[in-house]
Amino acid sequence: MAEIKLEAIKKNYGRTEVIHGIDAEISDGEFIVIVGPSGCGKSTLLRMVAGLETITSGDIHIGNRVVNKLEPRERDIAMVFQNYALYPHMSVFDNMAYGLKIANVPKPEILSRVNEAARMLELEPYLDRKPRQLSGGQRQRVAMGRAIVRKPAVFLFDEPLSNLDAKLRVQMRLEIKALQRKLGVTALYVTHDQVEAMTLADRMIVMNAGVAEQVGAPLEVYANPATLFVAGFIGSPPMNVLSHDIRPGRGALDPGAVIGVRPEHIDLVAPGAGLIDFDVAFCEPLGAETLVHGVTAAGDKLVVRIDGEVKLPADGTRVGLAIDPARILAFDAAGRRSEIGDRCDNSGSER
Amino acid sequence: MIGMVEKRGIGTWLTHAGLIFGIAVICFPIWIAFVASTVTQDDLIRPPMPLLPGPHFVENYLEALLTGGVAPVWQMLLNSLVMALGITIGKIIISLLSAYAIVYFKFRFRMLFFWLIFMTLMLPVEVRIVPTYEVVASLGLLNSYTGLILPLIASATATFLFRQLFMTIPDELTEAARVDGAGPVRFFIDILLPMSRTNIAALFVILFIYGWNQYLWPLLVTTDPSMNTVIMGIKQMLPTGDQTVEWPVIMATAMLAMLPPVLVVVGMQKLFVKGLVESEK
Amino acid sequence: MEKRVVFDNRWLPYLLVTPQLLVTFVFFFWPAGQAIYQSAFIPDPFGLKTQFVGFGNFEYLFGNRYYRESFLTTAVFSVLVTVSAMSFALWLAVLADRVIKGSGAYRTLLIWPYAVAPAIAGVLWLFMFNPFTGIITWALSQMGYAWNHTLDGGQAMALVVAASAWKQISYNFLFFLAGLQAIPKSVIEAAAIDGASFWRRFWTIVFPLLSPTTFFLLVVNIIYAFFDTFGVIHTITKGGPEQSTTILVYKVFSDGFVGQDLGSSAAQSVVLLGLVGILTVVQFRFIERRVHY
Repeated sequence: MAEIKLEAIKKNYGRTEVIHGIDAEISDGEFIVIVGPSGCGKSTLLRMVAGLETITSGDIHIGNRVVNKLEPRERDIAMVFQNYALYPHMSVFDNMAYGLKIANVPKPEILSRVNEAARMLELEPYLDRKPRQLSGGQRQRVAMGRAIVRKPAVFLFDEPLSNLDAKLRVQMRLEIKALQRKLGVTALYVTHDQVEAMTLADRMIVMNAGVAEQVGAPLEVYANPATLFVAGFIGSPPMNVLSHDIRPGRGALDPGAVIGVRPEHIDLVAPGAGLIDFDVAFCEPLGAETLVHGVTAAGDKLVVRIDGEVKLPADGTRVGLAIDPARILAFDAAGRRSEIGDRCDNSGSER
Repeated sequence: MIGMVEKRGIGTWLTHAGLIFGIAVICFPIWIAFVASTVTQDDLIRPPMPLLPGPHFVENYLEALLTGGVAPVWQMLLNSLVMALGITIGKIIISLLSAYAIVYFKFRFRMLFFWLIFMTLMLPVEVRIVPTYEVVASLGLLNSYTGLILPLIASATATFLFRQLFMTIPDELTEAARVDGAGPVRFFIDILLPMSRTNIAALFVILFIYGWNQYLWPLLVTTDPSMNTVIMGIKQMLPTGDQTVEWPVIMATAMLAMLPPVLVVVGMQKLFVKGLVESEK
Repeated sequence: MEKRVVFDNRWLPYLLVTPQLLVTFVFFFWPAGQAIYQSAFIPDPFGLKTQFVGFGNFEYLFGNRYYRESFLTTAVFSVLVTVSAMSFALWLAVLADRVIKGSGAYRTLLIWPYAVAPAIAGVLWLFMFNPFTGIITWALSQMGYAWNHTLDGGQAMALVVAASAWKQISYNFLFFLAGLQAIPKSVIEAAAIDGASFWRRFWTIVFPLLSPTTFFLLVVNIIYAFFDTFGVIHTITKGGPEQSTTILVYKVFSDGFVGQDLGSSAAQSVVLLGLVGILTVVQFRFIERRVHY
């Protein structure tokens, strides 16, 4: 069990800076998800914590130690890799026992730890099999088993579910969360899937192009995105972005500034009865909900989410949009949240 | 299959006939040698020699093994075995180590080393025989196993093969091992080597044959008949000028000389073919 | 070329490469260097000192009728071996490819000559063609043809070519078979539907698709004929009669060891070194292309 502290972490490859200064404090036992699009540097960050990449500047603390110069095995971490990285020539048992063997843990203890992990992950019938005889989900569990037996201070997950099919992913997601709760070990989890992030995280770090744009609990980040990027990245369907201000009593927006409102915060009313009128282009009936696509009278494209039982407006109809002005978020030309009363500044840390 | 679009009875029959003819042509010299090794010298001196094996199998082979011509064949077979195994094992070991160093470590002279051993691909031993002989002689290694073996493990073909193999091992595996606490030596022994098992075996087959069949180098390096290998030793049993020689014994020796590599090729065919194909990539 | 994960160790890599470096230096670079160095000297008549002649040995070599002939002999020899070994192997591979059942058995029976040493191949063929007792000699004489390769240079060449090619057929067969089996059946079938007969299909579709394999084998066979056939020549003809089968690599041996002319032999080694270098470069350039194919 340990806290993790990232202080001004920077990473260069040659002369190119790819991570531009990340700060975060993670409490003991927290499940932190680092989420962002491909290439944003999240895996690099994780690997720096693991000790698989060098740190150009800044400090990483695990527990009360600065681990910058330490080898992975000295950092008391365990890692689950995207492609599982199981040793193909060893049985499931040996795969899980390998790290313990190297650490000269006495045999009876290895036996008990591996068996306990196998029981937790329902791997007992497979202990003698080789990885190639296992399915993707089973291999994933062996990879986790390998991490569990080490009883580390921190679990590191590098997109462990991306190679599984959708249904298995949902199931494994829940298992991972339950496991972490049960074991109480601090976890750092990297993914590009914002749904995974929302469901797994106690808090998440949203990264973009080497910068942590926001750190916070999922619902907080959802309701109060600090930047336009975060607003657009978290939430599906994504937040609507408008270049014309529809809040009552406002003039034109500053050049480059935009406003945003989430699809579910908009209601359809009679034309003229809302903040602005809206021409329906087409509808996507999804069953539990319907997504209505169209264009506002001001010329912005918009998506509205309405209940699935409501009758679909016909294509081409004109309706009005009713929105609680408090739900409309404003962003300046640099993509940061603007306006008095916003709770997040742009350094990415929670206030 | 390129011809099987049309199925004609006579086509298939001709195909098999052709293949059998091919096999006959390939096998004929061996068959003749075998027959010759089982008959008497008299049978052979007056052509045509018989085409079916005779009754003298045991005595001819025993004579070859125990007395041979210049040296007893059992001794030559032993020398061949030691040399072949020495070359095979020696080459595999040093190549594994070098390939591991090149692929998994960043060290200052890495590229230089790489090109240095790359150049050794360019010179088969036949081209540098005279000076290599002088070097070996000056080191006092004539007529020794060391002298037979060492110059032949100097080329880098196996190193490149292993390098290619190691490049295909996923990085994640190495990282997992590192996280598990394995240092470079442990990683090599516990993970890399077991994963390379088939390639090592395939290479073993190819190198064994290569080593066993060496001719020119053993010819030069051994002057003491007791150090003859069987492949070069045969040459010394052949007639020069008007000498009479015991052809059945010579043929028996030839059969014995061919036996181990042929057994290896046929018995380990899958590995052998894999080894050939991999080594030419 | 680069692996993402490398170990940090300072001294371990040097330790690992030492064995190969040592062996390579002592038994490759030093002798190769010696060869180049010696090629610039000739021994004086008493064998006590050597005299620097620069390119003199090379000039002498290329002016020497026997050396130039050796070039020609080697060229003729390589072409004959390559062509015969490759055509016969291709024919057998085509046949084996047609067979559904039993191709494995045929393959087993055809590949084992690869295991036979060239020197042994030489002994076997020498035995069959022995001018006095050989079985083939006898068969030829029954047909009115007198065979004595110790007297007739052409026959000697034919014999060493036969022995060398015989051994190499298996190797070529294996690669041709693999190449043929890699051709998608659908392509052949499409051609058949288009109305092409077997021979037409072979020459216009199969053979072009086989060309990477063919080219590759061409280079390998030539290198084989240049260097690995020493055993054949030495056991059957010792380069004779009258040097008609003295290929370049044999000449290096006979001038250097038998004739004791170290300078000339070294110079010849250097020439061969150049030739191998070119062939190796061709082979590597080509292998890169094969990967893209």
